[in-house]
Amino acid sequence: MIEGQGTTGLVLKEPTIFERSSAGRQGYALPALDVPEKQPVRFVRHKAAELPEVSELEVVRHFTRLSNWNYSVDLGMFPLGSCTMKYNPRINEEIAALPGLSVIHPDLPAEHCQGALEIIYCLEKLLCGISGMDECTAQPSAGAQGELTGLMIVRAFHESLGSSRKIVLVPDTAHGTNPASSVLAGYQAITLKSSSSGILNLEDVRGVCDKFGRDIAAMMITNPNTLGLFESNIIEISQALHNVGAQLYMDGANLNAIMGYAKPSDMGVDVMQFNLHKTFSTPHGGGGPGAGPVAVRSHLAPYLPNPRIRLVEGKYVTENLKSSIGKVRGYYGNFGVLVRALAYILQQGADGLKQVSKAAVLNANYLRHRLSSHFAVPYRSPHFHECVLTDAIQIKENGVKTLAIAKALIDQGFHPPTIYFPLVVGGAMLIEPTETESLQELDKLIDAFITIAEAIRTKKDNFEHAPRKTIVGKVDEVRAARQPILSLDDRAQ
Amino acid sequence: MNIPKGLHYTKEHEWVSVDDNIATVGISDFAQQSLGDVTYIQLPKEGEQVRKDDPFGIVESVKAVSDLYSPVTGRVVEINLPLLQAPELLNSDPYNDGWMIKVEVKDESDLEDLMSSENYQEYIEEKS
Amino acid sequence: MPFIPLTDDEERTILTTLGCQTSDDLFASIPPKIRETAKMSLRLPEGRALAKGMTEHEARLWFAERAERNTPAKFRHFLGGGVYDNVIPSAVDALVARGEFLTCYTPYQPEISQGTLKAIFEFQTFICRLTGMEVANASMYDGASAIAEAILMANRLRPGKRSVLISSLLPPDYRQVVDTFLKHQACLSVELGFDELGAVDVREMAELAKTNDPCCAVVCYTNYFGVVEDLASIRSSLPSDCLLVVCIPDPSALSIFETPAALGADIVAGEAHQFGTPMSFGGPHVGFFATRRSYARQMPGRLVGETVDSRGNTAYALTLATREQHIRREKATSNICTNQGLIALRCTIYLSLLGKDGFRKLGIQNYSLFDYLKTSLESLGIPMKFKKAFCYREGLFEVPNLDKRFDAAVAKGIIPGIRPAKKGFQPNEFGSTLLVTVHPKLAKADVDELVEVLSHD
Repeated sequence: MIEGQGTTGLVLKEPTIFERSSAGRQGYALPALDVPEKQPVRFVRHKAAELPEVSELEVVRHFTRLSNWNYSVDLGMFPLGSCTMKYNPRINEEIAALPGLSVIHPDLPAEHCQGALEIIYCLEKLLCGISGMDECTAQPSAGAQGELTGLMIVRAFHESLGSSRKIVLVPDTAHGTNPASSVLAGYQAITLKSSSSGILNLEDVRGVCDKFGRDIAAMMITNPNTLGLFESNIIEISQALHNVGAQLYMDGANLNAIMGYAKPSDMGVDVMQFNLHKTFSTPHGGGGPGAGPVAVRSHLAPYLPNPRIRLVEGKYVTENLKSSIGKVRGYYGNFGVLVRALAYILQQGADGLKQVSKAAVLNANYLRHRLSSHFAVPYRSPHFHECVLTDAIQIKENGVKTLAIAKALIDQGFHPPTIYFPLVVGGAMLIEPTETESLQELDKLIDAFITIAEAIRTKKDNFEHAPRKTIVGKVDEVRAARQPILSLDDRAQ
Repeated sequence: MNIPKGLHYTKEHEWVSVDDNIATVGISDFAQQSLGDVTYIQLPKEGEQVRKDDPFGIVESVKAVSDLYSPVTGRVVEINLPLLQAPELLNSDPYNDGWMIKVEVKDESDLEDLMSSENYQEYIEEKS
Repeated sequence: MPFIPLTDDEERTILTTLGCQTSDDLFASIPPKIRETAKMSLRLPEGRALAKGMTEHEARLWFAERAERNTPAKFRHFLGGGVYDNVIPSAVDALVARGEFLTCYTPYQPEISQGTLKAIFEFQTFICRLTGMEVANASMYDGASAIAEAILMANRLRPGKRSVLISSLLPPDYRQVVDTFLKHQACLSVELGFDELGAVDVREMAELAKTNDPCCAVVCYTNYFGVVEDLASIRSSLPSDCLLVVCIPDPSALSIFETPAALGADIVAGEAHQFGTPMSFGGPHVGFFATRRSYARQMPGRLVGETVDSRGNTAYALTLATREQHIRREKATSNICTNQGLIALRCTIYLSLLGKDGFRKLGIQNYSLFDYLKTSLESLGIPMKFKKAFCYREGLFEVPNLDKRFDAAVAKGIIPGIRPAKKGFQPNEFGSTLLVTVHPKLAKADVDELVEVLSHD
């Protein structure tokens, strides 16, 4: 076995919480009832819900043990491309938990929630400042919901001009959410091929604009794209689209690369979403909550979701727009996430955010440069905040594929990069170190990659059985899909 | 790679054999290998119409999903029920136990643009 | 800079390795025209420029000041309508603050995500046991999105149907989200009215179902007026091929009222934040989604399944992922790419602590305190809008001189409830009504004080 910084500690087995249950045990006492107890007489539940009966310590132990089975940013580096797994400052958690920010009901009259409205208002203004866009809504719950919101805004805009368009153009490097969101917004997604240099060819875009003309509602572009390359024809692309009345949507998933170096507004972008759980450091929480605010140029502002928050004579008020697309989720969005992101932006300031992008890009290029003598690098030009490697050399040397390399990295103590994405690169490993990793950590990751490459080259290991040091071995995903057991009560069947 | 002679093949990797106006349709050995372990198959109901080159079902593995395209037009007269219960048959025996649907063919000219086993062999060599 | 470890020396080391003069060289593929104007000038509405960032302590103070501008903590409130206050066991906060839960990613690599995966599997089990349904997903953004997704799923299950019947008594925020999502669907939405009990008018619904060829009927359990709907009669009045979609904005009701599954529901979707997550001004919350086993493949969102590993241990993995956008792209069941992991975890821990008996108590206590409130208000001449309405823990009251009495309550440190007329209900019918809700932070004394201030000018 190849040694790395990954090792095994004492990790405890644990059944489900339901299997720890003992009749009559209790983990929490509700405040006592001081009025007469009443029982409903209609629609009565016949059989009580089978919740576990466990003590507080049993609950604490159960979830502490489970937590030990997770890899996390707090534990080690998470170079997951396109996910921006940066450090999540703890002060942001403390702030979001302030009772004055967390124990507030969203139906409070506006005069009783001025502080909350101000926080959302500030965040929306600052996101405009960062992107150069004119107005912003913090309502969407996540990046994908932001995409859908943006496309609905585009649709409402076209419809207001009496124009019914059918098509959204999506480059082949795009996140899978882009085509899915297009369809949900009532559009047909048409895929645009990238050139061999990894970015869109301007002539291709012009050709498609000629071909489909005023059927094109928008193009969704990620810039820098998911290969970590800047779409340097972006201004001309936006002109080609605007010439046929189409809008340019930017997926802001990769904003971490360009803050202070390029403003989406200057690229000709009409509408974009931010991923606060990526760029602005709110914790991923094992898959949410995130937030996906949407910013627009002024011509799209009348269609933003309701309600809008305005500052009128020193007071924050809410206002509903007549032409709005409506609401995309309840109330004001994931407010607790917005608080954390604002806290992060306030602590960074404009200078700090530029420093973020600089360091993120330096780190990614350092990784790419150092690894390029051991792994195939499909695109040579400098990358932004992420870079892509492939398994081409390792397949040739010993038939070892990306999946095995990823699993081998786990034993070395690292979370694997994003694998088999973007789809345009065979056997892709998309690596995004983020700015919060130190040079020493980058060197450790590089050493781990090289150790694995060496073991493959010398045929010492093909990592067929990796990972070996984790609480579980290779998980049988085929069985999980063929005979789905989706709750404890499925086991018996 | 097993590419039995006497069957007709599509560019989407379905095979079809016709016997007395009844076409039996499945997917090729190449297709099942590219998909990996098949976990789920969705087929039309008996009596439904399928149309040449239109999707008639889907086949899924853990991380991939493909539409199935009908090589012929006609009414589905039988589906392989055991296959729905045991999708692994598609991996172990794509040409026999792994057949999918039987279709009453209206027009045998549907088969004209399909590939022979030799042509299909060349086609997949070119692709890979 | 605390969050960026890169030192000047290290920057030079990296630049030397790359053969670059300055870091700007790495940004050379950005057209100069864009780079020229890229400088951000950030400023807060209060006028403060934000070139340099705040220190941690400055940020703490800035937010503390804003927190104080919201309702002071000593206020009591009777707000509900889809968002419910609750006591949160201290262990919930302690456990979710663990970095292993807080800072991990979506569990795509099962070998190093078993903690999250197992917790989600437990969440799915909790939702199945609460609702009585056979399968539940790993959670959705919030209740409003969950119910919108439920309707889209009913559309997929019943292609070609012309309409969706929707109760007019969904929480208004849910209704607005549903309208936004249905805008681009071919399906027409048909509104279901209510009867003199403040519940869905079942007779009218049966007529509408005959003429509109619906794919589903969406009803709330309990509805925006706090009324427990008669799901069994609703089910039996619908055509057999019309799905029953039950929206549950208040899942604590499932502790004492019959499960939607037992009453014929096909899809159950709702909001579970009150199980361990603060109201947080409306989010992050957590939607849940459950249905029949036969519809599992049409479900939106993530699913975790139990399986085994190469060593024969029980293990967990994301499963049936082929429904999702990252594989199906434009053919996905939904564009959703995440669940609400951490909030679903809070819910799982909360329900574990509360346990079987505690969960039942939660329902009984809410029901009893509301019963006391209702009886007290009625005895002082403040009737329910629907006199015979069968409510769980909130209800709609006719309050004379509402504006004045509302303000009087606020002056005493009480937010007495929600005014439906301000949430889109007709002012001529609902102008003097107040939706009053109880929750576990309230006791008899609070209710007595509310009753006192609402019952006279």
